[in-house]
Amino acid sequence: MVKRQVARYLVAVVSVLLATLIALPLYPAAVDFPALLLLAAVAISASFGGYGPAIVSVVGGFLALDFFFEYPPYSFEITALGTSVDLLAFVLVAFLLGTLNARLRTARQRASQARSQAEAALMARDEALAIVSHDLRTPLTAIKTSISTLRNPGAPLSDGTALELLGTIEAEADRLVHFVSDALAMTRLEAGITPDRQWNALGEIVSAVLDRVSPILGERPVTYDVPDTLPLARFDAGLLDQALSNVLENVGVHTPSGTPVSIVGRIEGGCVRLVVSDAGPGIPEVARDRVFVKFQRLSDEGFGTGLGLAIARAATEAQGGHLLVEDSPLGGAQFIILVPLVGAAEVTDAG
Amino acid sequence: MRGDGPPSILMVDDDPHVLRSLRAALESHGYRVQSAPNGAIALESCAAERPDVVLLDLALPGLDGVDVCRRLRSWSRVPILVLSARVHESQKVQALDAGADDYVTKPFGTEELLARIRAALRRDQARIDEAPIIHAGGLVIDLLARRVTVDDREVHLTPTEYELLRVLATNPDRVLTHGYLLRTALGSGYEDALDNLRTFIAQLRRKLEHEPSRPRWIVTEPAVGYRFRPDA
Repeated sequence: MVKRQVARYLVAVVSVLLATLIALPLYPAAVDFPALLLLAAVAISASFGGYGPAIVSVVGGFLALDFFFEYPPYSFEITALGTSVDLLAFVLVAFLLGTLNARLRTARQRASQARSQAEAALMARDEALAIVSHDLRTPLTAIKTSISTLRNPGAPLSDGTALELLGTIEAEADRLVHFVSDALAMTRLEAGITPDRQWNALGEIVSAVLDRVSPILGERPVTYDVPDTLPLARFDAGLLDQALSNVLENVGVHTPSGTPVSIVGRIEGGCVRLVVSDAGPGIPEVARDRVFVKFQRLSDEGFGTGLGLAIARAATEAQGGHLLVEDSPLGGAQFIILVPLVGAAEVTDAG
Repeated sequence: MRGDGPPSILMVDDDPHVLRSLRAALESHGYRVQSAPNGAIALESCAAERPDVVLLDLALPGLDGVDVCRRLRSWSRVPILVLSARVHESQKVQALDAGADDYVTKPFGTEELLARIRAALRRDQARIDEAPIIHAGGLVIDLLARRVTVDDREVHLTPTEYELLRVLATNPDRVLTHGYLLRTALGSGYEDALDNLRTFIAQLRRKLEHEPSRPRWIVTEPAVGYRFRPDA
């Protein structure tokens, strides 16, 4: 980039020098020749280099014209009206061609940006498609094989084996259901949702979500701190439910059984603030953006769809909020859901 | 239950595979099963066969599930259990508003569906029995004397709080939408006053529940409404 910039200015300097050198032996036999040559130098500098080199060539060209080719020669005094007119022509040409050059360059830049964006999107889509087809194929394969075996066993199946195969079918079907409903939820959020903001009691929503995900949290002791004296607040309960459920499900999948989980809910600074902390392995700083990307799993363990946290973030952002992750005082990860209340100012990314 | 014999269930769904597998599941648990592929046939069938429970899919060809609920409710109190896919969230609330009793989100496990069917039948039976005193764990509501006690301790409720509790408790295990509660318990002038409803529910919980922030009787259905859980 810097090299190219230097080359542009070099072209301006060299073209003015050349024009002057060529014009010198011809002057004063051909009186108009130097001005025309220098004008050409300006045109070349402007169209090749843009505004900056154009200005350099205008200044250089004008000084050369004034010093060498105006009577009396070898002085910077401006005596002829023609020199001023020449200067005007220089400036005009420099400006017009410089503008054209600038436009051409931004157009080129945009085109290359758009191209790289399109390439990145295509790559992301191919990657997503590969993961989706893998995630769909694996359970389908297990289901099909189990059913084929049950229908046409080579040798008679023991009751135990038959039950095991049926269990596989049910579990894999559950996995498909989970995956498809997550994918649908993600698609809906990506298509854009208008939040339905109603008066809600934060504690009601959090305790209802907690009730629902308690089978997933299992043995983990949960500390619940959402005072029922909090004021009512206007937000979309369905979207907050979706965000919190997915964060808690993620905790259920990625932290060891029996480790503590804490949920703190407050209404402060014009927003709902929900903090979910766990004592699991945590999320390394370099991976904190990646966990919110669709289909990105940090580990292969668990049965996650790779969509949970992406859905949680999209659901939070759908009502103008933020979902952040940091280190937890419990030793694991801490997720913070911030949702601005209607009429309140935009939430800041305060950790 | 109408008449003797096992309870009968009418399934309304346009997908023959769903109908076939549901029929197998329900019949294996001793229910009599009829089916209807669309809303119009479902209404006729309800009038002719008088099922004990209706399982209603919301996405039906022609007359949609919400319309079926509304028309059915104009002359029948048969429990309606809505089967809704997650994409039809708003339709689900409309169906509950139109008089459906409960919903199960597709795809559901057979166990969950059977539990909901049993709850619907129990509720229907309780309605026919019409006991003037409701017992729910330590909570006792005497509808005749308008007296409420928790663990033998009398609880004083304002008229609105009592009315709210009465509507919830006489519809056990049933999802009551915000709109329904506002219309029936708070009355005219309060139809849009969701903030008032929240406040009344919070007061009610503070007076009844041992741990108001983790309620056992009055349970929140986020973005839909409330449910009274009698056997918590």
